[in-house]
Amino acid sequence: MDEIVAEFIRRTLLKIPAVDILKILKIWNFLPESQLETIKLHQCKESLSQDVVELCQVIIINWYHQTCPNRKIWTVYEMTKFPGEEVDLSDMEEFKDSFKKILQRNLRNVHVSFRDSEDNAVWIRIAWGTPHMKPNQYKTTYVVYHSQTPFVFICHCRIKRYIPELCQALMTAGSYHKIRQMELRSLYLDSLKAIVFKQYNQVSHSLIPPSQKLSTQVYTIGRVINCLFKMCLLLFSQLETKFKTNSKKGILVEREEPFRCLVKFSSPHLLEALKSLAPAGIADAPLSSLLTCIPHKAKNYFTIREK
Amino acid sequence: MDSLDVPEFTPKHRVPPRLRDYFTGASPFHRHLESVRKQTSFGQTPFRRKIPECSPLQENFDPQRIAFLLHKQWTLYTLTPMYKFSYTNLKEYSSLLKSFIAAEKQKGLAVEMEEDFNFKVIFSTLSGVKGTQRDPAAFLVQIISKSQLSSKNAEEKVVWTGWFCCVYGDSLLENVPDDFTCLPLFLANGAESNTALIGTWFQQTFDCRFTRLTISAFNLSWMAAMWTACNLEHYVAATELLWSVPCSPQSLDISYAIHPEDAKALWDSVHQAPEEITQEEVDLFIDCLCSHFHRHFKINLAATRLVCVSTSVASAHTDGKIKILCSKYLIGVLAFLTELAIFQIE
Repeated sequence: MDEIVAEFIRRTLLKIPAVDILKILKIWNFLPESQLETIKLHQCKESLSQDVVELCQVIIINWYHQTCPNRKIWTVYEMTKFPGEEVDLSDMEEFKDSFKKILQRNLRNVHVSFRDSEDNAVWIRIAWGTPHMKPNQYKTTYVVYHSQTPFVFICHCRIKRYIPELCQALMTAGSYHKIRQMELRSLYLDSLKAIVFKQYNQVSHSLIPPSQKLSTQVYTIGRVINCLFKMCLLLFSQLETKFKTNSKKGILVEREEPFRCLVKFSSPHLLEALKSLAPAGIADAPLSSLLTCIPHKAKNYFTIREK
Repeated sequence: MDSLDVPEFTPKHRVPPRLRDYFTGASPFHRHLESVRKQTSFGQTPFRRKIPECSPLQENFDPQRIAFLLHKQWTLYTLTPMYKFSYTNLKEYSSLLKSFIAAEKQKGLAVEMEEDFNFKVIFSTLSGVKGTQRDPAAFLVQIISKSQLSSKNAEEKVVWTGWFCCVYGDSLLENVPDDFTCLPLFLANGAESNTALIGTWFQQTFDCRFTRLTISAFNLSWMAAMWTACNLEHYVAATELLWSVPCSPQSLDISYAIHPEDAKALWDSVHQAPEEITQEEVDLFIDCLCSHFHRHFKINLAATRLVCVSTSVASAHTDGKIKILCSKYLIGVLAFLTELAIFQIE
């Protein structure tokens, strides 16, 4: 939520007499009844107003990510267990409880809130603070965790220094032993989910009767991938190769160090757009595998070095 | 080119006869520009340019005021010479423009006028923003609104800024009649409706005309080369070129960001004479980058369109938006923009 709007709501609430707050919130009519009931009215107005702002933020952020989800970059982390360890069937409530406790024990002034979403995932909102600093409610991190999967989606808002604490809390709460960042990032959470959960494969295998499978499979996969990549905006390539050109002028031939570049492709229909390059004469055919391997490698961030 | 979204200039007073002569095409101003064009071998733009440098007049810079010009996105316009503009009347212009804006707002807004009227207009000169002593002084116009919350410690907020300048432009415009002030480059930051409104006042008061200044891919590649050539002690940004691919059904953007030290190394190996940059060098620099790109992605960038260039010195977009980041090369950047503005005015 816009910081100014959040601050505006908070300050407005501070001016309203405590007894009238619930009445006013009902008149404002932007929080559903079920959520109004969760607000603890018998606390100091400072925390009360903070609770309301947070409820608004969760509502707005959910709406925001569904309707205009192109503002922040999501990254994906994959967690692994010790080899041979059984699939853990621990309860989501236990996970939440333990996650919150670990973070609060390590950083003391951390504000953690949860919201269950319809697709079996939990959204976690974290406002970071330190033992000496109150949580900053405007620079928050969002984490989306699907129970029974090793994947965590994280959207950081500027503050990056708490990543180690966050990873530690995720591993301990989910009883995992290792966590790594995947080379996959996007402005669109849904396209990342589709790639890591391999939803396109599931669709093609489960929904089509075996007799038709061979002929329609290709079509179905293509169609599903297309609709996924309508949302997948970016492809990054970090080049760390030597500079070489076809020109015979000897430019930078002596240079041993790599010529450092970061290349980023973006389009509302990335895969379609890349496919159209060769027919348009802009790219040589066939298209470089670098540009086409996102779905099966579950990777859209590449580092290219000299072979 | 898009012209500024304001009603066509319709003079309420009679156009002075001398001015009419001036715009009929046979004026000394036009003839002079013609001759300048013939001297340049590349049709629209010169074949070689000097490397941007610090102006000796930069010593007159007021660092605070210059800092105010940096790190903001400016929309570029060209401005034809202003008739009977005088630097001694800046105070008067402030109050005239203020009443003009107030009157216009009153037409559109019947309610909450008083709150809306709580603003001031300030005209001031920008000392040092010129290339030679002959360049007319640059000046700044600001619209500052005062918050209405409490009148005692009212917070002042700049809601719109525009500035007019001419850097190394006077030699081209030296034949302009005395009554005219030539500040061909206008930069605005703030709501477009305000730019249009203020533009209208200038057009009516000084009989001049604003037009959006767009930057061609050709000139963007010059900027990429000139700004890469600058010697900086530390870099704040990569040298980034943004290419737009016109493919269906959706466009594709390719951002190609080069580590600034590596971009400089490439430039140094392409570049020959210490003081000037040639068209050949600019082409070779861009070709080298395209060729390195092609090696990895098999995509021919030359078949696409360069739309944006950003470096630690400045960034520019083809639609005529610019951000200047480095005060040391402010004059160099403005000199090139002044040159583009003068060519577009014709």
